[in-house]
Amino acid sequence: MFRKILAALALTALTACASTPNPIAAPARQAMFVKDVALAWDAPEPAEAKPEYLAGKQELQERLEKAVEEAFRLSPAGSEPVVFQIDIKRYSRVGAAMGNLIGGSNMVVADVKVVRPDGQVAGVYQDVTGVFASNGGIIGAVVQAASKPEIEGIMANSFAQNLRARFDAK
Amino acid sequence: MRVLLLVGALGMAAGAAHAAAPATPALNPDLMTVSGRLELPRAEALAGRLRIAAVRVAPTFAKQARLKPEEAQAVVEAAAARSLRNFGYLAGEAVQDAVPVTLELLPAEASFDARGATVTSRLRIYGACLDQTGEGRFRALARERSGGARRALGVASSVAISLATGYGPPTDTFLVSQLELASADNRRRNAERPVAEGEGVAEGFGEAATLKAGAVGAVRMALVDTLRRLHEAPACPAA
Repeated sequence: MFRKILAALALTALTACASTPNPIAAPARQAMFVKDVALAWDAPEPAEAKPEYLAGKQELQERLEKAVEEAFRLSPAGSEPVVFQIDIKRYSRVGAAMGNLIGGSNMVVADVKVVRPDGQVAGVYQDVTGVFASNGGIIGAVVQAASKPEIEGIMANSFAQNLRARFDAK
Repeated sequence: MRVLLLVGALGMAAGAAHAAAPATPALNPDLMTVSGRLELPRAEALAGRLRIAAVRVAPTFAKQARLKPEEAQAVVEAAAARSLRNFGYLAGEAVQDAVPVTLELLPAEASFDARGATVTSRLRIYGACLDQTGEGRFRALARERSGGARRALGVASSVAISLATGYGPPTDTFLVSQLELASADNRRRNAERPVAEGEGVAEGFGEAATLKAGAVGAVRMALVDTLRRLHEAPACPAA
């Protein structure tokens, strides 16, 4: 019974995600082009920041801006310049063992404001996420520790692709 | 039984990877449109004067871009109209003395080398008082493959542990995570490749996808040159 309730709740949550309306109407989006991407860091700092957190935070900021710029370089292709203001609200960074064995994730969550030249906000894409999934169990932890994947790069690219999908959604 | 479970898990992993892959989208005209980002000069002598009467697209473009002829026609028409509008050339509906123009996308030339495809495209725009041909060249870099070792490790570990333990594949989570990670890292790797102006990385793998990216990019570059030429063109006398 409990499982059925959980499944129903999960389906409801998925439906809610899928039906989130686009905050900017299609004609307005088509008229824009992304002139600039700005980043603000408003994520709460952990009480005891681990080295991977600090190094990751620095690297993520450098790569996120570039990833979003690249994802929106050609599209939209209008004539009205807009700035994407990315406000990072949450950032979590876990080690290989933690991520693969216990739980927790490497994740960035941000609100993205689309700002017109006069300062008017055309719309806000809330809670856009970028994730590096690590759930490979004990072997996954060993492999991740040995292979050192580009966690921040993958998170940044994942964020840019998710933002792209939200921007293109009807 | 063990083998059946293993095959099932591998099938599920392949299914998950397939489900995660986006369906092939229709070609977005934005990819060929010249946006305000390029900061070209806006229309002066021909500001608000042009009206597109016809668009002709060489069949080679449809072939290179892997589109049906009618799709190629529609996407070039949309990209050209939006590019002209972005820089102020298109006449509004109320304008009485608009100059009807024909746009003709001429056959493109393509060449391949080890790293990608270079396509040169020409776009002619002509009407009663103007005849300009813009030319654009675009180099599409072939999408790089990566992650083979990680995928192989995932599959091999899954098979080995399954056979060694005598149970179904207990490492399917590991297998799926390695397949997902390999794909995510490949997307990152290609997205982060440095490209010069007039270059881009193909969206898909293989020669056909690279040629498509080259053909689409070359039309955009030809539109850029056409807009520059239109800016220099003399005014059309009123009809």
